[in-house]
Amino acid sequence: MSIQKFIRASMQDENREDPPQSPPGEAFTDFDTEHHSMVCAGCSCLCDDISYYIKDGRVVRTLNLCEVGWKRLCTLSEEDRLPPPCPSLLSETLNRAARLLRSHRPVLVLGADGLGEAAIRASYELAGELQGPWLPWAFMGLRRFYERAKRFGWATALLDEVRDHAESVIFWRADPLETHHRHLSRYSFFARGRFTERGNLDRNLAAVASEKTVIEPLCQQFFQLPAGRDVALIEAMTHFHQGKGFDHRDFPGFVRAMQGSTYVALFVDPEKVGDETLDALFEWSTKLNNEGRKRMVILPLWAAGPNIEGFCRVSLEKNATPWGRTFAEDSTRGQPAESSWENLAETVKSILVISPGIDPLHRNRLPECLRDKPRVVIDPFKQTAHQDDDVVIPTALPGVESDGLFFRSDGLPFAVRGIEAITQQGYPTVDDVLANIMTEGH
Amino acid sequence: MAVSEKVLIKQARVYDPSQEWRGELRDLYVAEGRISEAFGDPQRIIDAGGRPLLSGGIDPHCLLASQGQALTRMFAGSPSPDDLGRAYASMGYVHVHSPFMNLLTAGLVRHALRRMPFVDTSTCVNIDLRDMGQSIRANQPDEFSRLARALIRLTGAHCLSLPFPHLRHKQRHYIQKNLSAKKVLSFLSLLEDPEVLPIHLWGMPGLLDHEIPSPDHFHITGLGSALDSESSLEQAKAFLAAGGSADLGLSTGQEQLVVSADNTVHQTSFSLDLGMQTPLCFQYKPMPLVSTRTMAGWSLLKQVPPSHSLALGASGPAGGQSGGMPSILTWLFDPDSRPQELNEALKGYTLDLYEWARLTRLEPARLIGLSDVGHLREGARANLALYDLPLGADGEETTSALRDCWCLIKDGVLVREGGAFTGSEPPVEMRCPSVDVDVSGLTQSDLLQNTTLRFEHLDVCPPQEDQAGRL
Repeated sequence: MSIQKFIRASMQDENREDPPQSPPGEAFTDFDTEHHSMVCAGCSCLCDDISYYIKDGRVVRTLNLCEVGWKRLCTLSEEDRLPPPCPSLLSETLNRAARLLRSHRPVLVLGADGLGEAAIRASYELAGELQGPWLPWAFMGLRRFYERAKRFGWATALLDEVRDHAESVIFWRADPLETHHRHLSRYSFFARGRFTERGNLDRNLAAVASEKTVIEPLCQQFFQLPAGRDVALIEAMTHFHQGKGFDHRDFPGFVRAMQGSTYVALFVDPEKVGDETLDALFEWSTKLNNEGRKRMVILPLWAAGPNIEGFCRVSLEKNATPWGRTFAEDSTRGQPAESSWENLAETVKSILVISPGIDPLHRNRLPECLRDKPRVVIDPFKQTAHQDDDVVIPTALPGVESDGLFFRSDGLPFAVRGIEAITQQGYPTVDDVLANIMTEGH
Repeated sequence: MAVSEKVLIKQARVYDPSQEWRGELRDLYVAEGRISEAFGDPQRIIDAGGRPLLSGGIDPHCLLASQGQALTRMFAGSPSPDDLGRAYASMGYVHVHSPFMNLLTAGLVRHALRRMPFVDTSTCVNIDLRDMGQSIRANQPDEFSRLARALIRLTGAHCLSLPFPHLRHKQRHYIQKNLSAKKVLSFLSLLEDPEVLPIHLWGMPGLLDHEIPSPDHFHITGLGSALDSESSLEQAKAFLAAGGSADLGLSTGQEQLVVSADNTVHQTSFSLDLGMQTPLCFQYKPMPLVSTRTMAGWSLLKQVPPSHSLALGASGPAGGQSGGMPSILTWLFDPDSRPQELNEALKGYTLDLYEWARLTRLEPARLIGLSDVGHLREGARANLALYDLPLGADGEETTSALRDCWCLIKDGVLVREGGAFTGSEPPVEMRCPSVDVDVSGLTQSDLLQNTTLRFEHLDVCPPQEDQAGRL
C-alpha cells in the first residue's frame, strides 16, 4: 500500500468513527479560551505543539493532538472518574492509606514512571521510608536493556539527530502507531530533517513484529516473525556479506537498504524481545559503529509511562541504576531491584500502585501473583480492577490537571503545564498525596 | 536555605593576588553575603589561628552535566550531582564551570546544574557551525554576533564555545557548506562584540596546529588535551604570550571521565549523537602520567610566567575521581611528594600559596568573566576558604588539608567549620550574563529552524526559580 493510500484509508477510518474533536455545527471560534504550544504527556514523544480550545471548562477542540493524547483527555469525563474527595474525606483516606502501608512493610511502590519528576522523587522518598522496592511498571525490561547497554557499550541519539540523519529506520517489535502516534511524523519517518530534506522519501522503513501491525503498510520491509527467529535475522544482517541469508521475501531489500544507508536508527521495545535478541541487537550496532562506515543507534521505545525517562534519571541519580531499587531493612545501600513479579510477591507485604492510566492496553497490569496483597491505589480514574478493600485515592491526572517535569524518550526535559481551565476540579496532585502519606502516621 | 551572618574572621594568613596580599595576618569581615568594611557587632567570630585563607575556589572546566552523563553513573560509577557539589565544597570550591551544552540540551543541562548543592555553576553553549556557518560564509560578523547573543540568551549560558573549529559534512550534497578551521578562526578573530568574546575552544589534539589570528579573542578550555606534541607546547606558549587565555586540565594518571569525538563503541562506553558534528563518546579511562599529553600540561605550568592568563584545573569531575585537585596541588607544593614521572617536567618548580590563589581563584574568575568572585576586595561575594595547612606540612597532610578544607563560607553562609559540614546549605545559582539582543524574528533563522522543540520549550526552568535566560 502506498503512503497516500494508507493516509486515505486512515482518514476514512476516522470518518467512520465519531470525531470528538469536531462537534458538528459548531463554529471554530466558539470557545472561551485557547492554549497554544502546550506539551502533551500522553506518551514519551511529549509533543510540544498542542493547542487546546476550552468552552465551559471542557476541551472542545484540539490541534495536533494524536489519538493517544485525545483518548487520555477524554478519560477526564465524569463517568471515568471518582468524584474529587472533600478535604475531610481525603484526610481520612490518606490516614488509612498510611496506616495500611506502615503496617504491611515492606511496601512495593510501583509505577511512578507516569508522574512528573517531583512526584517521582517523592515516590522514591516514600519507598525509602517504607523500606520496599521502588520500581516502574517496565522494570524488568529496563533492567535487561540497560545491563546490555553497559555490557556491550551503547550508541544512541537525540530524536533530533534521528530526524536529521536516519536513512534507515527499524522498529523492532515496537509499533509507534500503537504507542507513540506522532513519532513517525515528528522524528522518525515523515519528518524532514537537516540531511533528510524529503522526509520519508529519504528513508527506508522496516519493522519486525509477531503479527500484522498498524505500521505495516508504511514499511518497505516488514518481517512478520515468531520471536524465536529474531536472532537469525540479526545474524543474517550482521554477516550478509559472508553470504549468510535469511528466508524472507523482504530480506534482500532490507540488505540493500542497509547497505545504502550511512545512518540507521533502531527502535526496540525491550519488554517484547528476549535476552538473546537484545544481545544480538547490541552486538550488531557495535559492529557497524566500530567498522566506521555507518552509524547505528539504538533507542528503546517503551510502551510504558510517559515519564519513563524521568524515572530513569532520578533512579540513576539516586541509585546509579535506571530501573529503580529495593530499599532493604538494615541496609544503607540498596540491593538490586527484584528480578521478577513472582520474587516481588514473595518479598513485599503491600503495594502502593500508581495507576498507569485507563488505557485498555494498560488495564489490569498488576500480575495475578500480587493481586491479593493489600493495596493503596493512586488513580485519576474509576477502574473496574479495584478491589473492595483497596484504598483508592483519586488524583489529578499528571500533565493535564497538574504540572510536572517530563522527559522525552531521548532524555530532553519539558515543563508540562496543566490545562488551566480543568486544573481546578478539586483533585489533589499525586505529589501532594505522596507527601501526605509520607507524613501521615508519624 | 541558610541566612548569611555578620562574621568576623580573625588572624588569617590571607592570600589575594588581586590586592597583592601575600599571607599577611589580617581580619576579614562579612556582612550581607559580601566582604565588608570593618564593623563592631559580629554575630559570629571565627578565629583562623593563622591558617591560610583564600577566596573560594573556582573550577574553570568540569564535565558536570550533559546529555547522557547521568548514564555514566551506571556505566562507571561517576558521582551524583549531590556528591559532586559536596566534593567541591569539601575542597573549598564555590563555583564550577561546565564546558558545554547546545541549544537542544540546554534545558537538561540547566535543570541538572540547578540540582547541584553548595556551588554556583555556569556553562558554555556550543556554536553549531551548521546553523551559524552561513554568516561566516557570507562574512557577516554583525549577523553572527546577533545569533551568538541570541544563543547565549536563549540557553542561559555564560559564554560561547566552539567544539570543532571546522565544519565537515559527510554527505556529499552538503560539502559546499563545509568550513575550514582557517576560515572559521579568521572570521571569529574579526568579531568585536565583547558580549560574545572570548570564544572557548575545546582543547583537542591538533587544535594548536591551526593559526589563531587574534588569540585574545579565544580561550582554550582543557588546554592539556591539546598538548599532543613538543611543537604544540611551543604553540601554546605563543598563544598565551599573544593574549590568549586557557585553563589547564591536568591529569593525575588516575581513571577519569573522557569525552571524545568518536564513533566507536566499547564496553561500558556510551556514544551519543547530541546535535554536534560527530557523536561524543563518554568513557572512563586512565590517562597515564607518562603520556606526552599528560606531561606537556605539567611542563607548561612551569614555563608560563604569571603575567599570562592561565588557570589551573584538573581533568575529570570534581578534580578527578580520586580527588585529583588536592593531589595535583600537593605535587606542585612539595617536590618530595611528586611521582617520579613528574620530576623532570617540574624540575625547579614549586607552587606557593599566592600562586595557588591566583591559578585557582583569580584567573578562573577572570577567564569565565565573573567579576565579583575569585578575590577578596570589599564588596566581593563572601566566598572564603580556610585550610588547616601548617607551614612545612608533608605531602599526606597537605592532600588531606586540601581535600577537606577547615572552613568554608559561601555567600556569607558558613558551610564548613572545623573540617566538617555545618548542615547549612548556601544559596546557589547558575550564573549567566544579561545579554542585550532582539530575539524577534529568530524563529525563522537557521538557529531555531532545525530543532524539534518549540522556541518556548527550550528551557524548563519555573519562572519563580530562575528568570535568567528566559524570554
